Amino acid sequence: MEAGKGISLVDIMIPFTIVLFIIAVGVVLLYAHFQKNLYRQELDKATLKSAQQEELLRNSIFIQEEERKRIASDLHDELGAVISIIRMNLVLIQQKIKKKETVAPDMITAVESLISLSESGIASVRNISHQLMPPQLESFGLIKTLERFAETINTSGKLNICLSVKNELPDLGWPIALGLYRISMELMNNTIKHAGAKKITIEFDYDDHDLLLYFKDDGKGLDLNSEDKTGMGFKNIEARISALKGSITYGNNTEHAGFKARVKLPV
Amino acid sequence: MVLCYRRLEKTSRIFAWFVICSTIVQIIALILWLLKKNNMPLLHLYVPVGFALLAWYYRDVLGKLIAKGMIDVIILLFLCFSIVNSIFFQSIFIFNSNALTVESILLIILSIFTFIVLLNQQLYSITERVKLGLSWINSGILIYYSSTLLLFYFSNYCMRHYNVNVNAYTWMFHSFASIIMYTCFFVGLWKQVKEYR
Repeated sequence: MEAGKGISLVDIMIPFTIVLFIIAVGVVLLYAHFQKNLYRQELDKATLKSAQQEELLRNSIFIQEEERKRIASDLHDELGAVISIIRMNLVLIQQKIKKKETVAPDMITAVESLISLSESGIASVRNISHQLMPPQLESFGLIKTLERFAETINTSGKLNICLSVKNELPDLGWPIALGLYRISMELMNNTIKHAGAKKITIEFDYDDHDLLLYFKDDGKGLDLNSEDKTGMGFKNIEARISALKGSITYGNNTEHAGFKARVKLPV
Repeated sequence: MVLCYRRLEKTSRIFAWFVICSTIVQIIALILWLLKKNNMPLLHLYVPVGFALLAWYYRDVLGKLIAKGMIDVIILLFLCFSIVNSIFFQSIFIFNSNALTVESILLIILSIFTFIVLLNQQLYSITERVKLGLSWINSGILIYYSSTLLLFYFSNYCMRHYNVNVNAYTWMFHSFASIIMYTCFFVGLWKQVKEYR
């Protein structure tokens, strides 16, 4: 390790030390670069996965709605028609046996009871098919359909539903109209079933880009101490909103008791 | 400071002990230097203890990825080498360049290995908090020990054959590398404490 005649140890050591320092810094910078790339790749993967999941959710909701529509139509047009024919024939039988003098009174009562049963069957089929897919929604639109539902509830006198539209809504596509209908119905059903509220306020608004739905009731609100504050119905609402690329915020009213929600959907 | 220590994960606490140990040694060394007393015996104590703490830190972080026994053996062998070196080869009153050189080589290997491990995408055994600090700490160790490897190896020779000015310049470079290392350590520990909030 003696210093050479032409070149000293320090002349070698210092540049080599600097070179080693530069290599070490280079390794660290390369590591940071690779790490950044890995992070970006993972982020891209997560974004892709989330987009795929959203697409899957949208498709599943679409298929569900199509199936509901088909079942509603089959129920109404086929089963409904069959029960109607049964009722018609029963009415004819009733008219015929009334003309005969020798018919036992039990027979008349039995036919009357069958007519009454068939009438209630027709009503049930009609209700179920309308619940599955309200025909007014396609013909008269979202607001008219909700107004009709509100009127039905309001006439019962137990609950008052106030529906208002702040700004004129644009022409909503079928998926959005149907989605908003299902969301509104789910929110109202939750209030009716669990909140014990006296009043529900629903307001629709439009601000050039987004459709806003404000929902408020004066019931007991969410139980904030419970671990699972919301049930299955709320998960459905969230799934539908996510499929429509919207957002929801909800919680309890600060001023008065009750629940409130704000749904925002891009139109 | 105690609050910051409590916010650290168990693995980072081991590293915090290394930093505390370094600080105490540096302060005592400075006092001895001011009293014009030889502070080299302190270095003979600091090198094996410092290495053991750093290797223990790596052992804890990479525990599930490498055989822990391997690092235990390395720590044990290095402690033996350091003691033998201090007793038989380099007295405790001179610079222990042999031990420092071996320590540098071992820590360079460990830090490069850690970088390779950290680039593994399927790395779930290390939490993000530890990973965040580890990257900085590992960078500091790699930069410091690879930059000072030759300085440590040739230090005794330089002190004997070159004038004070040359030695002052080389040790100034050592101080520069130390500043970078401790800055990386500070950032690494700080990021972990910050992440806790």
